[in-house]
Formats: sequence, C-alpha cells, structure tokens
Amino acid sequence: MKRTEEDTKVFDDMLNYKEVVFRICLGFSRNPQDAEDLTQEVYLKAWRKIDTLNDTNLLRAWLFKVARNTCLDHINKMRLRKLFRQDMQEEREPRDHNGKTPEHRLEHRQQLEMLKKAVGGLSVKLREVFILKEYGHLTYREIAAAVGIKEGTVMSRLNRARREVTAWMRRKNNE
Amino acid sequence: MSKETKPEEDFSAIQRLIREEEQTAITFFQQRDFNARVKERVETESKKTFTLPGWFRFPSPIPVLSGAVLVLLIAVPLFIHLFSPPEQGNDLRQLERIFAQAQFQKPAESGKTSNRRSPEYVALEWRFKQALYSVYLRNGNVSDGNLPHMFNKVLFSVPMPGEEITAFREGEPPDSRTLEKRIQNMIKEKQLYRTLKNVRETQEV
Repeated sequence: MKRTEEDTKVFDDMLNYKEVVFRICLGFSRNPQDAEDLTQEVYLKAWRKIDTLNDTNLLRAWLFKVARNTCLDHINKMRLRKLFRQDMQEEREPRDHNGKTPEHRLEHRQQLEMLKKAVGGLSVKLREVFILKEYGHLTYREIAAAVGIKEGTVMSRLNRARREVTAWMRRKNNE
Repeated sequence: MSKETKPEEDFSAIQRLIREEEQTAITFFQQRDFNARVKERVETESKKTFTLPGWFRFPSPIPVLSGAVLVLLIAVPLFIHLFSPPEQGNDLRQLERIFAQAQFQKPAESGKTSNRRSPEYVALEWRFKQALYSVYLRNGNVSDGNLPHMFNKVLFSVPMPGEEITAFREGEPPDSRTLEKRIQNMIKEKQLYRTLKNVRETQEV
C-alpha cells in the first residue's frame, strides 16, 4: 500500500472532521468507547481507500459515506454480540456527574436507555438518516450523498423517524 | 415528555437528551489523543500489509483470465454433459453397428449343437440390450424425430399384448424383463434388423 505525501495531507484534512465522524458513530453504536473504536475503523478504511477519492472537494461527503457504511457493517456484525454486552455497557458508561443528584442521574440514564431503544427500533433506512442528522448534524445534501438518495427522501425519512422516536418515547414515558 | 406536551415539544426534549449524551461523549473523545492513535494504527497497518506483486493485484488481467479459463474448463464440459440433447445420430449408428455384428455372429453358430452361446455372443447381446434400452429410455417419450419413429416401428413390429402397447404409447416403458425378453426374441428372429432396414429404405424412397 504505497501512499503519497498528497494522500497523507488529505488524510490530515480528514482528521478535521473526526468529531462529526465520532458523533455519527456514537449514534450508531450508542456507546462512547465503541464510537471511538468505530471512528478509528472509519479512518483506517478511509486510509485504505484513499486512492478512490478522485476529487478532494468531495472529501467531507466521501468521508461521511465511509463512516455510514462502516457503521452499518458494524451494526450487522454486532447484532448478536450486542445482546451479551448490555450489562457491560452499564459499567463502561463514562462518568459525568456534573453535580447532578443521584435521582436526576438515574432518570437521565433511564431516558437515555429509552432513547437508545427508540432509535434502535427504527428501520435501518430511517435510523441512518436520523443519526446522520441528529448526531452528525449533516445537511440534507450531505445525508443524501452519503446514503445515495434524494434530498426530498431524506426529509421525508427524517420526518418519519422523528415522529416514530417521539411516539415511542411518549408511549414508554406514559406506561 | 407526557400526554400533555405537544409532539414538537417532545422532540425538542429528545434533541436535548441527544445533545446531553453527545456532550458527555465528546468530552470523553476529546480527552483521547485520537489523531496520534489513528496515525499509529495507520502506520502499523502500512508496515505490516503484505502486498502482492503488481502483476497479480486485482483487477490485473492475469488472475482474472486464469480464473475465467479455469471456470470455463470445468463449466463447459459439465454444461455440455448435462444439457446436450441425446445424440440420435450416434445412437442410430451404434444400433446399426451392433445389429450388423449380431447378424454376423448368429446364435446358431455358437449354440446350434450344444444349445450354448459363446461368451462373445452373450456379451454382444448384452451390449445390444443396453444400447437399445438406453435409446428407448431417452427417446421413448418423444413423439417426433427420426429415431423414435423408427424405434417405435421396430418395437411394434413384434407382436405385443394390447395392454403393453397402450402402456408404451402412454410413455411408460415396459418393465426391463419384458423388454429384454422381447429384444432377445427379436435378435433371434432377426426381425429387428429387417424392420429397421425396411423402415430406412422406405424413408429413403
């Protein structure tokens, strides 16, 4: 794998978007440690495939596409393993008490768990758009490029995803 | 988030929750020396990656072509074997050759006095039966074409009980024992060869 200086420079530019990539990975993995590992995977994959990036102006969109594909691959691989990791995740949550009371922290954690389930319950099509928007803060155009759909479809899917998540959270809160 | 709140308010609450989760995670992420870590991994990967010689790297034509040739070598004969129609001409020639041999080695020559047949004759007869039976099995259900037509004539030229004829016409081969017996008689009487010859001559006329 021979890489030129130009490739290294492009790769360094890519690292400027690491937080966006991390947020996207967080949306898919729902765990900061996993999200970090996943972000590394995204960058490794990007490095391996850097010669397929023909236009450096499209670097952002290209990187987000790599991130999206890597995350979807990860989800497929982890689908079974995830079941056994539920307990471990509880311990691995980073501690950020910020002076909150134990009750507040408990409620916050419960809400987060519910949100995790609500997003996880979305179909893949809706979930990826939801995550890219709500976690990655990507524009409609960027999401359309990463997923390979039209902007209008992005909007309608996002709308549906938001409604489904809201309805799910509402139902669970009222139970 | 409760029954009293509007959906937009609900979603704003969800977004706040996401932001909070994100903030915690980002704080964690910022504490990690991500750039150094990822560069280290990239470097390690670049060093340990085994690279195939340039001419062998996909999509170099050499592996692609050799793969394609290999597939063709296996697939083509297999395809021909599985899907080629029965070679009627060959069967017919084989049948005629066997007939000719059968006529040459008459049963009388070997078994007239002792009522025993020579092993060659028995072997020949067996080959003939096999050939005829396989021809029958392959063409018995086909209603048109030269060989089935001739074969039907040959077979029907020997008197058969009515129900057997019906069974044959409906595409059910007579059981092998009956068929063998019939062929044996046909060989003995040379009727088969004569009929085949007649049919051929009629067609040529």
